[in-house]
Amino acid sequence: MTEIGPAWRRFKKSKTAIVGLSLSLLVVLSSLLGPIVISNDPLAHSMSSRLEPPSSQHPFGTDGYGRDVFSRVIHGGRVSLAVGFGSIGIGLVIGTLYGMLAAMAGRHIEVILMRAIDVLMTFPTLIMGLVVMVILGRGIFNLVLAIGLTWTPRFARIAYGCTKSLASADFIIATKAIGVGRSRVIIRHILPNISGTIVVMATMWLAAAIRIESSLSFLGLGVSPPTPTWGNILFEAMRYLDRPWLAVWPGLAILITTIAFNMVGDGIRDMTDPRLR
Amino acid sequence: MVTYIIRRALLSIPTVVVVLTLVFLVMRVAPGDPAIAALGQYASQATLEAFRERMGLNAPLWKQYVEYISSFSRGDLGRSMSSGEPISRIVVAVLPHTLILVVTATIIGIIVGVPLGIITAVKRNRALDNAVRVCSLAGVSIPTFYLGILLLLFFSVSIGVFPTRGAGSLGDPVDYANHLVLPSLALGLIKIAYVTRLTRSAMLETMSADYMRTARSKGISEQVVLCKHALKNVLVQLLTVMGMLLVLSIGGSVMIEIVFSRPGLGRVLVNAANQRDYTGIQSVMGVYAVLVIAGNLLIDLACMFVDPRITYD
Repeated sequence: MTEIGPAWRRFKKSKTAIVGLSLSLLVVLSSLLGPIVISNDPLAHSMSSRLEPPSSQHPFGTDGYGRDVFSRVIHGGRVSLAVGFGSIGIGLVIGTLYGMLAAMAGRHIEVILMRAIDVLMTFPTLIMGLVVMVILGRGIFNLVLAIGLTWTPRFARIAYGCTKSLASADFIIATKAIGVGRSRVIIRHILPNISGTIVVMATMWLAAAIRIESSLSFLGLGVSPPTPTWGNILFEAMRYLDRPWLAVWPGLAILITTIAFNMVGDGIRDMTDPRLR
Repeated sequence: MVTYIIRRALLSIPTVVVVLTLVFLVMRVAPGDPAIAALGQYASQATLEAFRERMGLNAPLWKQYVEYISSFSRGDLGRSMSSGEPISRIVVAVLPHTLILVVTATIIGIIVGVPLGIITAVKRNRALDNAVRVCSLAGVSIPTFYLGILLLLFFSVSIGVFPTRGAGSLGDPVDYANHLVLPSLALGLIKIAYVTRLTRSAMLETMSADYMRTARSKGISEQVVLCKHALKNVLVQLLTVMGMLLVLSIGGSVMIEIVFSRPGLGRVLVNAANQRDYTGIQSVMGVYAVLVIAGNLLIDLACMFVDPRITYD
């Protein structure tokens, strides 16, 4: 793993990375603290104030049930971010374990395990998530699991590649030679050496996971209403295309978040890529 | 060479079978009863039993599997569990719309993305490069459906220049093209972003290669060096990542078809998913897999023609 000090100095030099990091913090903080500060209830119906344009009381207007869109976007952020972080976490843990085990499993099992991964990668993440959601049924936890599983093959491939290139390193051969068991080699010697690369990939895929969450919820296969997420707010907005503010703001929330996370991801990648130093 | 192409095509058949097997396993071994999923919680025991019998769900799993693979190879995709319609007929009706959308978007992506990537690599770190980099970062970050909605809101709802829904009829090219503009632009703009980023980094890598320095030191003009020496190598590199772009645009086409209410494979899949129609999902997944594998085969063959370093024997 790279040392934190010099790496941070390189990260700081990139304007994009710093802007991305500040934006990401802003997004995370506003969805963590926003619901405490905002007084409007995201679920409160009000038939007298349906489909109002943006005003000082409702900065993003109100939706078809008279609910405050601003409050829904802020609350929705909590759900969308939680699903994004949670699913990448699941994909990271399962995928890394799978990849490391496959790399150490021995010739035949290794080939079978990795061919399975190749096959899974022929499907776009969105379509895989969609199928898993049909099998599991709707709900936030199932959504986290479904998106997590679609990211598992990608993490597995990275972990496999890194482990493979380490397996022939002298220090691994040496530990094996003194009789250290396979699981101990994986946990104590391989894992610490590949965790840097895996965390970098996780940052880069976080934005994509949030995008898949919003897409699935938009298709009606993710989080069910009335719980707001950026995706299902947009889905409901599609019924009122003559009131564009309903769709523009929640979409912008997704866009700002994914751009911010991608900027951080790019920054970290450039920081760790020795060719760009 | 013809034998090579035939052999490569035959070799992709096992891959298709493996994918179909996996799809079958996931859909059938997974928890959940397809009959209850299709008919609902409150269907009577007798109706459920009749449905299982009609759909062949009572047969042993291996028999269902053999039946699924053999009918798939004959082009028979079974009947939809929700509507009872033959799925092959639905797929044949919508497939052209999806293919036209994906191909048009790819062409837009390449025609705009490749030149942009080359220009920004040559003029690295100038104002244009920075502007394009910001735009392409936004392009790879934006969800396809949000870009679709924005285009729809602006061009169809506010200005009213393009139709909001449907694909038009294939018999009327002008009307069809009119319906195609916004969907293919939404998908195409995102492809431009990806192609630009890929071309730029491939071009930067190529420009620092030894043979480029050699070409320059021979006194060849910069233009010839870029067009003849760099471009060719960059194009080969781009071709190899086209498979990834294909998978990406198939995923994107699902969302675009929903936003623009266009008939297509994606719409069929999402409808099947919302009605928990297991045979429908299984068949459409199979068709997607065949498309991706066929696309990758074409790309491999194209690589073989373009890159003299790859030999076919």
